[in-house]
Amino acid sequence: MLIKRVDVDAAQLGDPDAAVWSAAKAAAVSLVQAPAAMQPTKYIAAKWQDKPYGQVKALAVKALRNAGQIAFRLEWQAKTKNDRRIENTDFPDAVAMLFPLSEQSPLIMGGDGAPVSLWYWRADHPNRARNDVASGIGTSQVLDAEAVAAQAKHEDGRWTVVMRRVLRSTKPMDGIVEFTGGQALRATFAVWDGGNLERAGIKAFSPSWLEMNLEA
Amino acid sequence: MNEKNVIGRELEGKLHQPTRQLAMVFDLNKCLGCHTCAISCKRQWTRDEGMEQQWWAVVNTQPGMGTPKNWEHLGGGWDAKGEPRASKIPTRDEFGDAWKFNKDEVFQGGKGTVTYLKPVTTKGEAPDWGPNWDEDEGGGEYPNSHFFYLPRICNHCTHPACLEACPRGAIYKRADDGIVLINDKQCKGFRFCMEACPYKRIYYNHVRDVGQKCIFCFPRVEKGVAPACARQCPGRLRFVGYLDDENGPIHKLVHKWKVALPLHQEYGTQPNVYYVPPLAPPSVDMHGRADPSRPRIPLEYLEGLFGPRVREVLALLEAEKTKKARGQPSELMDLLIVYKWPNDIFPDFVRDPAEL
Repeated sequence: MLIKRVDVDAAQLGDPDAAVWSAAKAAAVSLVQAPAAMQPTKYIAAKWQDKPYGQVKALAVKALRNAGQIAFRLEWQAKTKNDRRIENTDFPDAVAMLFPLSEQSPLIMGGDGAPVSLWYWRADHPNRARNDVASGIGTSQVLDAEAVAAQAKHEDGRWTVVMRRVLRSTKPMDGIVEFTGGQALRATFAVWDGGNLERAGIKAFSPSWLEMNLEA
Repeated sequence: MNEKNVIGRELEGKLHQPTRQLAMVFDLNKCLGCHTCAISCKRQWTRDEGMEQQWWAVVNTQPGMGTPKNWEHLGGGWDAKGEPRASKIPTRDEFGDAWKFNKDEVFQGGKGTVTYLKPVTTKGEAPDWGPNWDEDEGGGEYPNSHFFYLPRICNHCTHPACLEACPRGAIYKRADDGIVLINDKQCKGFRFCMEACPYKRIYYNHVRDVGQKCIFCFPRVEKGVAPACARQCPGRLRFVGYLDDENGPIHKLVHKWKVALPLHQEYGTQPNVYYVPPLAPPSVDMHGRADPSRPRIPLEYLEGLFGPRVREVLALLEAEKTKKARGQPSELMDLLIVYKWPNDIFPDFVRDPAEL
């Protein structure tokens, strides 16, 4: 997928309803349930092995850049809007992107010496996404809780979320992904249905990389 | 994954245990249900925003629904084969929310004559449950109505279900004293621990998005000061010490005299809080005639909480009590009486917190 360079300001780039997005081509990313056997603890595996979860099948991914910023527009079916975190049983809907930080980074949460950078948006904080880094299941650490600007809407049973950041991070550090015009990049995705108490590894994820090229 | 603590975990068929284990024994014959333990804990640890509804130390009336409501029927812990038992997250409503009151409306809003002071939950609803909603209701029918108090904290289990359930390794059991703690920098508020704990003693902090629970007052303990709930207890029923200290009251009550029993040991987590079960007066009939063969608190009920040794323990307590009453020596009664406070009740933690 080509991430085209467009001549719009950051506000338009970050707006899921902006006209510029209707011209962008979407990649249909298939999602599957993260297997119960892959869950990091016996409790979670036992609790969820016979329950349906991770049932979101597809994510429509669009991406654009302007002179200084890159934005990803993620859209998926979510019949109910779960954005509250008042009761102990409230889990907000969420979506995440995973960028490898090395050639060898495994697409499932990275691995030892092969970390991945994560952009994680959750519906209880609709206007920002955080940047985590992970080197394996259960290891993600928050690097910057407000690294990524976000704008979201829930309409007609669908979430649309735009995550947007400057190409070169204003706070560069290990674990933060950086973007350069002309580069190839890849990502995987995950979606959590909060209404089904989905969190952590109880999710739908894309089992293969989405290959992208960032227009110079 | 490599940073995950292995203490308290079963690896390759072996349960990894701490070198020492701190424990508490609660003598239920002395608990007067005053909640000073709960208040002293609250004052010390749970006053921040997001902790309003948290009561790391609670006192439940038994028979009763407990805190959270109906917790004994929510699951969690391990089954007989050592497999995790499925459970659910106890809700804010089941724990009992921290209520707010319509003080402005009544006192400032000019509605003092048309409405009345009433509580509302965080959701804005009228509460129909609270942490001690069924206090002193108990069980049985007149003239054999009965109840007793059951103080509860985190059990700092030897095989903690919370620790093993956490996908992030955020819960660890300290090697030197067996205290179970949640590392709130590692915790992401996923709440699997709240489900897996069969005693339902973990709370969720909605402001900080983390799980929180009793910490056995580790900063006090490290300085030789007893946990707040134990130090402040007016009934002086909370013994604190190391399980392996043969000269201390914990070892004597749990292992030597064997009168202190774990709560619901069938949950499989090997709790490190033990209870001396409550003696009860005999049942009486409608004419007030006592039947000493039937204690007013049914033995079956106590066995349901503390296991099959209840009968034997109560008989021993009666026998030793009789000896003591006759002027004969009884080490067990002397232990339970706690002649010298604080030395006899938490000998390793006698330091006055005011001296810190």
